[in-house]
Amino acid sequence: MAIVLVVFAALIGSACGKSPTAPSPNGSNPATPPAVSATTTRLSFTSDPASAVGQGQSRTYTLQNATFQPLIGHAGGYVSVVVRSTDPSDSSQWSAVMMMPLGRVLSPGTYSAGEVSFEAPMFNFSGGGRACGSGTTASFTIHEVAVSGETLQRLRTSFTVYCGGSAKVSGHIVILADPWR
Amino acid sequence: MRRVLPGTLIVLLLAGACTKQESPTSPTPPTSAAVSPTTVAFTSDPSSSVGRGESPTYTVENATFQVGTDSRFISVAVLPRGATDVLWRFVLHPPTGQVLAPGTFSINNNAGHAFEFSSRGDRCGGAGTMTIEDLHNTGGLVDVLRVNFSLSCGGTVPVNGRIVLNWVPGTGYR
Repeated sequence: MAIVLVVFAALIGSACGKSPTAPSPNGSNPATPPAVSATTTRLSFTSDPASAVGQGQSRTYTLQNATFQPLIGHAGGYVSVVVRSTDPSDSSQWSAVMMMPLGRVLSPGTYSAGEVSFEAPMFNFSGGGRACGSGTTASFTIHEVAVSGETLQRLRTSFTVYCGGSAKVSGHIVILADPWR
Repeated sequence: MRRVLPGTLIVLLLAGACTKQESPTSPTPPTSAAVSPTTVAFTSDPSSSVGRGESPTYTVENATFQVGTDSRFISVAVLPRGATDVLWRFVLHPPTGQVLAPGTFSINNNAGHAFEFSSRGDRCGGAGTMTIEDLHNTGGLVDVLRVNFSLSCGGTVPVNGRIVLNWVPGTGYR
């Protein structure tokens, strides 16, 4: 019984804590690329012409030309960021969603997404009226994440998404919301 | 399903341990309608970015379900039996300042998500409505959920669907 309680307590600590979790053998890699160095909130990406999302476009959004709406769930296991352009000449909206398997929180590390499994991380990137579709795979790196309650305070992540082929869209998301800057 | 349930139960217990134990739902016990079997069903038009013309109905007979929750947020993942290319995910999150409870929520990205539907690398976060008929959340475990949704997914016709969760103690979602 004591062993069970100790294990359960350890699991609670793992699920509730904000400290990085150990990379999982399923979908993560302990090698972490250099941190995204931007000092202001931004979404930037480049895309191959053949990529279903982006279609060759390169965009950079900051608080000067877009609104950023982050959402946290599962005590930090789910993060979505919706970015809407406020430029009158650009009505596009982009979103990135990261979700860890239940019981795990997003923490620094590199993760692979795309496996059809409850145990695999999920990463979606869509926008401009386009999405990837079947066969999507992605790699994303969490450089920094800080959550306070139900508020995302800081997030630095980079990602590469393959929409079912070799064409890719790559980018960075930086959220600095404590305060917004 | 049986392989998933123990892990799911642990996760749900953990989620409950992480919450402040505040329940957004009515304290009244489940009604007789709560015995509806666990089901996820939706209809979609080929023009929909998620669904793409599929209109499946999933129960514990043909799919496994994974449900997570915290104080404000419910996720439901559905893995069809034998599926190798699709895992449907539904995320229910109340608009900012609200809690999930019986009632109708407008799904409006400008006010925060109330419902999200994703699969195959795409996410449907369009406008629509979500009507929660019943929701009972005990200690981080979603015992009962009955929700209807209608959500624009980029096509000309919205995706319409229904999620029913019915937790049977000692058995799991049935």
